[in-house]
Amino acid sequence: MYYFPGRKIFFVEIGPFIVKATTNSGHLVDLVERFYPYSLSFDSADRIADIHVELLRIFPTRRWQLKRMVFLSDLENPYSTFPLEHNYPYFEWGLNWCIAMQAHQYLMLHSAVLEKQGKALILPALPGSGKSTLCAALTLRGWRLLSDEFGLYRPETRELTPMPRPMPLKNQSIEVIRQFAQDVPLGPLFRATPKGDVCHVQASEDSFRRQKETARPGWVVFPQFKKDVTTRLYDFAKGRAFLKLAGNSFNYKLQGERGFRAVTDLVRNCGTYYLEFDSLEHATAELDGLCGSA
Amino acid sequence: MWSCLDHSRLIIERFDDEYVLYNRFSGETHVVNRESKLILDAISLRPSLPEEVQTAISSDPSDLPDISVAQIQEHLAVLEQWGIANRIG
Repeated sequence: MYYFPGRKIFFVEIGPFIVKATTNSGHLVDLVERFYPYSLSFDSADRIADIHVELLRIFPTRRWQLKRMVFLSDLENPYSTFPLEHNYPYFEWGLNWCIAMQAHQYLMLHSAVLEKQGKALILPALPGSGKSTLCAALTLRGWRLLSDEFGLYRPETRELTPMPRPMPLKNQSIEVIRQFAQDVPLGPLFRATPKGDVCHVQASEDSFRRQKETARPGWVVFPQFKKDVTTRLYDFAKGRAFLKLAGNSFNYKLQGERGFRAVTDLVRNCGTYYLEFDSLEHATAELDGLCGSA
Repeated sequence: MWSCLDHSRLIIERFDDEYVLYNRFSGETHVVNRESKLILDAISLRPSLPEEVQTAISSDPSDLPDISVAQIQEHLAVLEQWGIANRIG
């Protein structure tokens, strides 16, 4: 495969990771500058990257290669080629893939993590549960974003490591968040990606500035959006919560006994709840109440 | 006759009335209730028939309601499926 010339290299510091990215798409660089204004650098001096990625526009030698890009990490290619205009969503998804494949020093939970008053709220959930939308709404209500996608738990220190990044909203969620807060900092809309229409909410400056500040886990809440239900936060039996949390982890099995001990710690030391919600107003109020009652 | 996985291979953590079992050998995790845990305790002390398990449980000072042999067999079948209990002899 041949690529267009004009490669640019940049570094992004995302929580504990330094990402080195190479691209020949100026558009992608502009978007990364927009979403990571506090942690982007073009200076390579003394930088040893943890994650190396390349997003390259293919020089077409076949008709199907017109206006397409490829994502590479250490020469591995987890995705097929994708349209040029989807470069930013693939940059983010590609980073998720790299982290999930490499960061086994952490127990990695598929969850949003936010912090208030020194305690972290873990929101583990399956796709479609409303996790990202709820996470974005909580950041707009003053919670600090640690991560929208990864709960990075270090069993040895019993702390969650931040990794603030833009929060991707999909399809109807985009309009839902616009109605929740009119001044929400939304990026451009990427239409018809494999996950539907995608639009990112910018993480706050505070989240980036405090991205080295870990947090103690306080609550594990399993959120589930349902139409036409009364929003309700209720206790979730710890044994069941254990199974759900372990099943939600990217690397619980791989961690072996360390993973079991880590989940035991989390479940023992956190309040465990299930949140059924039909509106962001009600859900954020319930979770604020949880914080206030602690 | 039933016996239980060697305890060096099994970690048990209690959370209220539920017990989380971790099988060090397979890496699998399961949740059981108090009945299953008492059955597990009984067969881990010595290999037992379901009737012997029933006697052991009924002598337990806890306020667990009576459990039939058929119910014990059902619990054992689940534990067997998970590789935690096994039939011997």
